[in-house]
Amino acid sequence: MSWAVLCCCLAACPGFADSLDRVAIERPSLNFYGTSGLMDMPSAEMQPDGEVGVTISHFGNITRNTLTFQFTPRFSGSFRYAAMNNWNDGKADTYYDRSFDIRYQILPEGPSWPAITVGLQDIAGTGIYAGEYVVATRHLGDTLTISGGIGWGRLGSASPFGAPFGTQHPEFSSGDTGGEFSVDQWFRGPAAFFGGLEWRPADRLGVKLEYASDAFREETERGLFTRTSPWNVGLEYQVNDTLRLGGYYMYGDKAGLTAQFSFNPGRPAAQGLRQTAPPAIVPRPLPQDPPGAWPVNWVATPGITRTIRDVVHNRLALQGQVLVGFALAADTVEIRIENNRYRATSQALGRAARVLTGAVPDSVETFRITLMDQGMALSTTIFRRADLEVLDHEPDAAEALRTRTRFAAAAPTLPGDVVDALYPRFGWSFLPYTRPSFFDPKNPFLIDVGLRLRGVVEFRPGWELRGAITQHLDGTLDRARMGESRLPRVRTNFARFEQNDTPVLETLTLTHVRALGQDYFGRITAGYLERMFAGLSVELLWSPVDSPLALGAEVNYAVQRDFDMRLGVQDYDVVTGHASIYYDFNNGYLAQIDVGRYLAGDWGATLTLQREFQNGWTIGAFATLTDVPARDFGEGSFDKGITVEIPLTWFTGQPGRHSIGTTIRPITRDGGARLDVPGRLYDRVRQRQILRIDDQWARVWR
Amino acid sequence: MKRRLALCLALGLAACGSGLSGDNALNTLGQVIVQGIRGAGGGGDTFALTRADLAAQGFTLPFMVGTLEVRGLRTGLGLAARSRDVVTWGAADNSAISLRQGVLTATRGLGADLYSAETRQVSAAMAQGGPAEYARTYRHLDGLDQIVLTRFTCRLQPAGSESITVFEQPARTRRFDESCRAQGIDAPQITNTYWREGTIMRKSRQWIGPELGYLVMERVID
Repeated sequence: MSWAVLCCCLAACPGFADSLDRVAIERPSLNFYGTSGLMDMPSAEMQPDGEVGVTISHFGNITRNTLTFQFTPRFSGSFRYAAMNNWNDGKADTYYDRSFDIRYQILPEGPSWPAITVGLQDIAGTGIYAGEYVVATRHLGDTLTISGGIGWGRLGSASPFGAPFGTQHPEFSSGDTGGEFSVDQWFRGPAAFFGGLEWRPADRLGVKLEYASDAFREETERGLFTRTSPWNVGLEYQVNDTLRLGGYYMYGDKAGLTAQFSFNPGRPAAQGLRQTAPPAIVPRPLPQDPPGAWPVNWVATPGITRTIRDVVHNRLALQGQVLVGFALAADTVEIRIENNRYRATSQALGRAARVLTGAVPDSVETFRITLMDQGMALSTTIFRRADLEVLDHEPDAAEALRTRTRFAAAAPTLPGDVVDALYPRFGWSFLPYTRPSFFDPKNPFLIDVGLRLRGVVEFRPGWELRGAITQHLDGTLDRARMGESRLPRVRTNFARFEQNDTPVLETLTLTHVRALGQDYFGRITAGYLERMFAGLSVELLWSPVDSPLALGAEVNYAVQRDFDMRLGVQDYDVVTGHASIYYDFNNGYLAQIDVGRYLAGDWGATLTLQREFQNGWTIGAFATLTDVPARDFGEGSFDKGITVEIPLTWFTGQPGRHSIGTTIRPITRDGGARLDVPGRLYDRVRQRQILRIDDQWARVWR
Repeated sequence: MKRRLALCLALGLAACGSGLSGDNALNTLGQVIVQGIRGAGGGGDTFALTRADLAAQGFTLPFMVGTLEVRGLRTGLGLAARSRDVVTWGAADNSAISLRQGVLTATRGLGADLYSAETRQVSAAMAQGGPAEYARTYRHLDGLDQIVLTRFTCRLQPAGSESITVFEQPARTRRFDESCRAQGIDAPQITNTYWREGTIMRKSRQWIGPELGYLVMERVID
């Protein structure tokens, strides 16, 4: 599986400390379902906050791959992709199943009571793993952990003691479209006890024993599994901080194996930032004559502004920053910069300020540094030069400088301040690309590789033409299933765009962005917006620099492109767009609600919840409900998925602004689909929000 | 087969481009992985010149040699900047260390850097000749770029006169041992050692942080 490959690379990556620290030892182990637990049964334990667990488990004819994220200290979610061989009555045929779980710890472990967790397994899938449980776990001493619980559904299928909450738990049927929450079934039907223990005689070693309450009814009927005993035993070994391996004897019949990979945004693959020391802050000598003031007669020197500007420009370039605008007065300098190197905005600001201390005359006391993004002025940070001089090398410099630094909305860039001869600017790149597709119902992992030529011209600040041409080289994406659809085919036909052997025009857009005065930003994009649609997109965003709330509106006219991805378009066109609310809870959680019309003409809303870590890791989940009924939507009933974004610096330790990320949907359908417009404003503007700058403020001195 | 060959060529060749920020990020990731596989791990340069070599090259500027024990890295350090009472020394690889009266106050560009450390207590104690007990706070950044404070209780103990040799040149120094324990823990966790010749810090071995361990600094040219 794809993520298995990535995980193996990462686990073997030398950046990961080989030493086994306490974190790895004290972390609960993961079970065959990829959640905290024993083997086939869960425990009440929670992973450390933010932990990402990737588990690959195999026994009998069953392979389960699970991604589990500890969304809060007491709440976790899992996404699973399971493959069952010999599904079709013992014949060589594989059934793939996708399922989501959630777990909530209603009571953390205390001095005299166990932890108690409630779990819902397979809450919105086709239901083969559907089950609910309440489980309690208690640690005895440093080495022994005991768990016991009651399971319903699948987890209550072996030796049930009764049905405490009555009624039948419906049987699984593999033709179901799934996707709907089966609230009326939860905790209904027969219930059974399960339990077990985990003993860790040494730091790296774990021994497990469990009594499992899963009868494997469907699997045994189909002959792909035999269950002769409810007892499972196993041995686990912690290889390094990232990887734990296990071998088991399952259900009196089968050997089992797991590989558990654990990552955490707070444990970077690279130790610290491998980057150059910042330029030194150059302190001014004390003013001599008259005392208390530096001379300002330099202002009259002809060409002085230009000379200083060139120095600043060159020194900023060494810090990966482009000087776009420059305005110098006797006591104030304002620079407008594009930060192309540092993920932490504070670090870009700090280095720019350091450059200024060594470049502008002594009388300049106020540094105004305005962040630009492709010509759009985002915000202005105001440093006092004396603060930088005094606080440099003070132990509490970060905290002290923060209280003395001010932030303000950026004034629009004046044409006279733009560094001349900077525009037009050109850029290009020629790079290989990969395009993966996960969890197609028949093919768990498909990927295309090819070459991409990109080019960009910025005519003036905020005006740019950008495009990409790709040449597909090899891959499997054209095998993606194209199921039937009762809606206009806006996404389910994506495989037809992947069948071109000649160069194709991936995107070609003309964009204008600008700050529209205080707190407002605007964008117009026209052209070949994405692989499947061309059109026109207009966006307006309101986002004050010091507000956790932002509001946006976007209206698009989109026409479906020809499958050959040249200049032509097809008959289907649609007006689509959304009103959006963005809210930053300032504790690492973000929410976004988009209400409007989707690509297939359906009306509805999308809710997105994200956990964002200070270093830029984000993990989120979204769900879209529209006026398309579940039966017309098809498999999955509604659009949902998870998003993962990881900054590259987390892997490399090298400075850089880019991230790798992906959106994983259990299935791609036509309902609730949004146009994929490049360069939407919110994420760009948010980088300069005070809340976001504060997340990594300490980097201002690095 | 031909298509696959073309692909390998494309992936293997350094991708090219200009002016488009970030496209190189993937290349960087690739380089880091390749370095890791080759076991480079930051071994790097080892400073092997003698005092005579420096003199022969007419080198008379202030000069130090730093040894990062955990990486086996030994490098020359030149005076890079002065800001009030702090002197910053830079290495050829663009890393830097900052010292206040010879006591380490920050490192930059080494990876898991010392973000900042209080120095005035230990400097004052050394000036008075010790012994002394005081609190000292070190700051580091964690994996999420948040400041982590370590509050140490330190004890400075004068260890008498000691004759040492720094780059073939003998020096009569007074040695001070500073042992620090994080509050609430009994065993000494870090021990800094200072060899002062008059008021000059001739040599020292000072703690940077949990990942980078100790840095030995030898002052070769004043």
